[in-house]
Amino acid sequence: MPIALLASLAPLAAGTDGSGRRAQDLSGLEPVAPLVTDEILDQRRVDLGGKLFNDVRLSRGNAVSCASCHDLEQGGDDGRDRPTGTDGQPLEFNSPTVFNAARNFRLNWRGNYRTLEEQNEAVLLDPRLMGSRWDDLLAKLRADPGYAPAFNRIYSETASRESVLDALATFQRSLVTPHSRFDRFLAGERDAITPAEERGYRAFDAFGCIACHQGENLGGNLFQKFGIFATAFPSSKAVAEADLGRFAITGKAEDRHVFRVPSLRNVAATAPYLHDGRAASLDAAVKIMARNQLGRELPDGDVDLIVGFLRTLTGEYLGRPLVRETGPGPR
Amino acid sequence: MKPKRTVLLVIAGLLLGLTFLLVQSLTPDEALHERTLDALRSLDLDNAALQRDVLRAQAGLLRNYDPLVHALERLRHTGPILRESGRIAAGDGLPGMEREIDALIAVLHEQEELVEEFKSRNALLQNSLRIFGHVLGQLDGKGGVQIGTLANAMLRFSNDPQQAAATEVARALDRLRFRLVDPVSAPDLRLLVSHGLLIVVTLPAVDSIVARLQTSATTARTQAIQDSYLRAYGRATARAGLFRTLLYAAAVSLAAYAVHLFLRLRHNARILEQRLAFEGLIAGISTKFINLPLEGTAEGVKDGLASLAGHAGVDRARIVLKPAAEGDRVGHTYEWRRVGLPGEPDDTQDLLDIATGWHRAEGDLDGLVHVPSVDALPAGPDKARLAALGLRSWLSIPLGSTGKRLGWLMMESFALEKHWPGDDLALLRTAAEIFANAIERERSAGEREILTARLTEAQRLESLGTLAGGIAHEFNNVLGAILGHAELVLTLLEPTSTTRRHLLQIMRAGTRAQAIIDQILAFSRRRERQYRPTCADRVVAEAVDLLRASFPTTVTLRTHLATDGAAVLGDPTGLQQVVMNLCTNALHAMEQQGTIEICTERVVLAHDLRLSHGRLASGRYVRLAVRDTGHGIDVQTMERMFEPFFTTKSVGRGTGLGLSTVHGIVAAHGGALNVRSRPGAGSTFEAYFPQTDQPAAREEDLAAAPVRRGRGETILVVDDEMQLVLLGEEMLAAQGYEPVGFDSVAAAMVAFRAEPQRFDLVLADENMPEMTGTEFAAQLHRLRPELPIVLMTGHLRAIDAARGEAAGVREVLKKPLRTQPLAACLARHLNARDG
Repeated sequence: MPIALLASLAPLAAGTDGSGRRAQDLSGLEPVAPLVTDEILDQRRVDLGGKLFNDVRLSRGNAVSCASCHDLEQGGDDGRDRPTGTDGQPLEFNSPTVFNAARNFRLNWRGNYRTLEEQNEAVLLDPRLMGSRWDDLLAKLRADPGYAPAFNRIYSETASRESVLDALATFQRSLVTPHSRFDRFLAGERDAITPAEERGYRAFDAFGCIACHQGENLGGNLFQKFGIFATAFPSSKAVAEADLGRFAITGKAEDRHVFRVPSLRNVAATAPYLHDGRAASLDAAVKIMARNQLGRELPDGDVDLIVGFLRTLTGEYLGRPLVRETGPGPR
Repeated sequence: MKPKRTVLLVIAGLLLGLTFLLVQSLTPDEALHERTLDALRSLDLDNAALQRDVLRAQAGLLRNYDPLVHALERLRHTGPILRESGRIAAGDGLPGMEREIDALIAVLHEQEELVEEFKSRNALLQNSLRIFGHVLGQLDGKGGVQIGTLANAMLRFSNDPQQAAATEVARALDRLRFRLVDPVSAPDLRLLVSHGLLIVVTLPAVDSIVARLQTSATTARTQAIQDSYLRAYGRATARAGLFRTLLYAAAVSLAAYAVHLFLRLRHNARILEQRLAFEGLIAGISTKFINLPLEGTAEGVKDGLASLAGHAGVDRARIVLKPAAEGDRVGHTYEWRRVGLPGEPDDTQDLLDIATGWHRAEGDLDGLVHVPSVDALPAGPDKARLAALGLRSWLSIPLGSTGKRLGWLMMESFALEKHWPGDDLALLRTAAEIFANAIERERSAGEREILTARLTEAQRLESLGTLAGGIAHEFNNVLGAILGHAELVLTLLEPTSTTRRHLLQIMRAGTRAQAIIDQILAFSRRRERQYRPTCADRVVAEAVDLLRASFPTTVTLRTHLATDGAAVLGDPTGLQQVVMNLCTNALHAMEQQGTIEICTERVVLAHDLRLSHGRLASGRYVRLAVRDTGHGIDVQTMERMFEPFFTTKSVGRGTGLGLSTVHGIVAAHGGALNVRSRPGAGSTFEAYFPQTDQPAAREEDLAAAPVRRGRGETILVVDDEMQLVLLGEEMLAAQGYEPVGFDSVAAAMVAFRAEPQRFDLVLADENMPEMTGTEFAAQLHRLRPELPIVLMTGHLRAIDAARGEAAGVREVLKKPLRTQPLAACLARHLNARDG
């Protein structure tokens, strides 16, 4: 594979002079791409889905809504390491943000769902999550004078499993966050990010983070093992089922500890981090990822640079930048 | 209900069939076909793009996996589309097609897993290669020999990732480990080592994945499916073409059917129009008849025939009536003929014969004969006769019902054949009924006129009879006295005296007067008659014997008696009188010269029969016919000849009572008279008498057992007329009885009560002012039940036999009393008493 060799050895010859020029040179091959928002959605379905998304009646006992764990005011997740199930026990995984989830090639940490509809239904029916049953849920919706005409108007039928899931999924497809500063930078707005942040991006590239966190969503388009150069799961600690990653689903040995690479968009607003919420801050998360995935201990300076870059990835929803107003401490 | 359901079923079936054809002709679905072709194209394109991007990613030229993800996504989506397309393969091809599609989907799935693995590993590999190269660059010049060796080994390995090269890299890396203690270069070296080791492990794996992806069967599978699909599509298109042709054929046949229906509808509408016109015509004829005066009937019938024939386009239309009188074959005929139709010999008789003798198995047409085409008739006498008359078509419709056939309506075509539809025939029948009714009405009116005249005549005869009868009765009593006394005187006179000769002349004249009175009474039916079964032939023969003696030899009497002993319930004397009077009448009509035929025969009438003078109900009759060769009877005479005292003879030759007597006797027997005559050609008088089944009584010989004379028995004689009492007393005394006469019932009663045993027999008149003879007899009978009582009466009204018997009446004598019957009667009853 001579081409691969040439590409890999190119830095050997060229060195890393003028990273800005390099970015320009390789713009066609830039591993990251701005978030595109050209998808045309039926606004009526989006509105209906939004209403459903915030409706506690979708859960058993009208306890929680989708928004209970995916607070759209707060980065699209719940700000906790792991949410508590209806049984009072903590769940296995950190709540992933719902923003831009539609752009991921698989859903959830283990990527066990391909579509929002599948994933939504699983959450609605999971006894530890929303614990609903279609009969009850639909009965509630059909009895509601607000929903009945909306379903009739949009789907020409009373609320059904298909229409409820379609409305929810359509709403979630609308949850994209464009216009992050980095996107503006990529779009050619050179001063959208500070030089330090641009240096952070170069570091993000040079250290190899970008090998997995690439594409439109900076991740979310491939699986990767957690713990390449160092084990992420110390032998002292009992390995939870969640830690087994995709192995729990496929049963293949090579899928042990393999997870879906999460998107880094809005990452500053979605603390804490990693599948079990083990990293409370971005710094910690960057350090863990560098050690386990890249085989190096990053100096604090580089960590700060990278974190600085990551903060430029926070986009806007309904014209407002996402923020994490509460949560564990400043980064 | 039933037909409606059938029609609905047919329509539903038709719709189903057409829908089926339409659906079949629409497959393959064009939109699906386009989608399928798109899917097959994008399979190729996306697969090529995927392969290209994998190679670019492997070469580090592509560092973004989104294109791979999107290509995989698009490939995934072709699966369901192809599954749907696979259904195009009908029947046996379907499982094969589905297997191929399943295989392709499996290959795609396998390919997707490979790509996922490639992404994960290639991300690490590319990263490690970059880091490795980067660190090598940083160590450039200060790494020493080991670094150079490592770089060379890595270059060789990456060129050809064989196990030996891998081992060499591993060994070079191993040699660097001892330098890790160097605090300056340790982090870089550690990076170099760890990423170098990862490259050694991952590079062959990635190469192997890429190699496997390159050999993926996706393209081959896609090609196979495309081939199968296009084959199936070709077949489906051909099949759809066939169904389109069928659909076209169905449309064409439906259109043809619609045209057919339209034509039929138009045809029916025309027929309906014609029928309406025909109906209107017939209604018009009917209306015309309603308003037509009776005397215009014939004209109306002719007009009706003309319009019917004109409408139907036949050459001749006729109504032939059944003959009124027996013997005639053809009755009155109404006829319309096309102007210019050549006259032909009278064929009415022939056609009537054919119409009445028409027997063909063509359903019960109730006497209707329809010959639309004479040529088409099976060969036979009918065809020959019709053809001989020059007919092309012929229609004969009977008038009136089977039992009362009035005649026939005939429509004849000589030039063209004329076919009558069934409905028109029905309408023609209606028309025939209208004609029949009109003719019947006319006939009934005529008949009524005749009957009215006859009734008037009968009433006149009856009043005349009553008048004459009353007069005759009175004369009879007077005559009785005259004759009785003359008889008594005669016995007292010397046989040679001149007085006796004069007296005999008186008696002869009296007897003649009595005969006249008898005839008047007979005519007025006031005479007592004794009806009993009588052999007609014998009575007639006796009468003829009597006549022969008095008839001149210039007249031949010929008899033909053929009733074979048939009996009539009647009075032999009356019957004889009928024969004698008719023969006398005939003799007078012949001026003493010619032949008189006297015939008797049995006649059975199936229907009522109208005669010249009266009417007969159906039944069995004995007919007496007297035919002469005389001068005949003119019409005026015919009407009045049965009136009493009507005579055509010169004064002194006839009384004018002969025929009226015959009329009276025949009427009294429940019979009727028929006279046929033409002036100059003789006359035939026919008298009908009802035949009876009772055997004829033997004619006992009443001629003279010697009459017992009285032996002085006392006879009580009661009559309200003193003259007759005296006569009776004289007659009884002359016969040796002891008469005691009273002209009053009361006086007689007093005498009887005074000495009941004095009387041996009572002779009483029935008609007395104080009480009837019967009542008187009853009183006497209570006093002396064994006393014989004989009543006398000259009146028509018979004495009630039952009442008479209860009153002890033994016998009823006819007045005026004559010696001979009186003597016989007394002898009978007194002898009986003597024992």
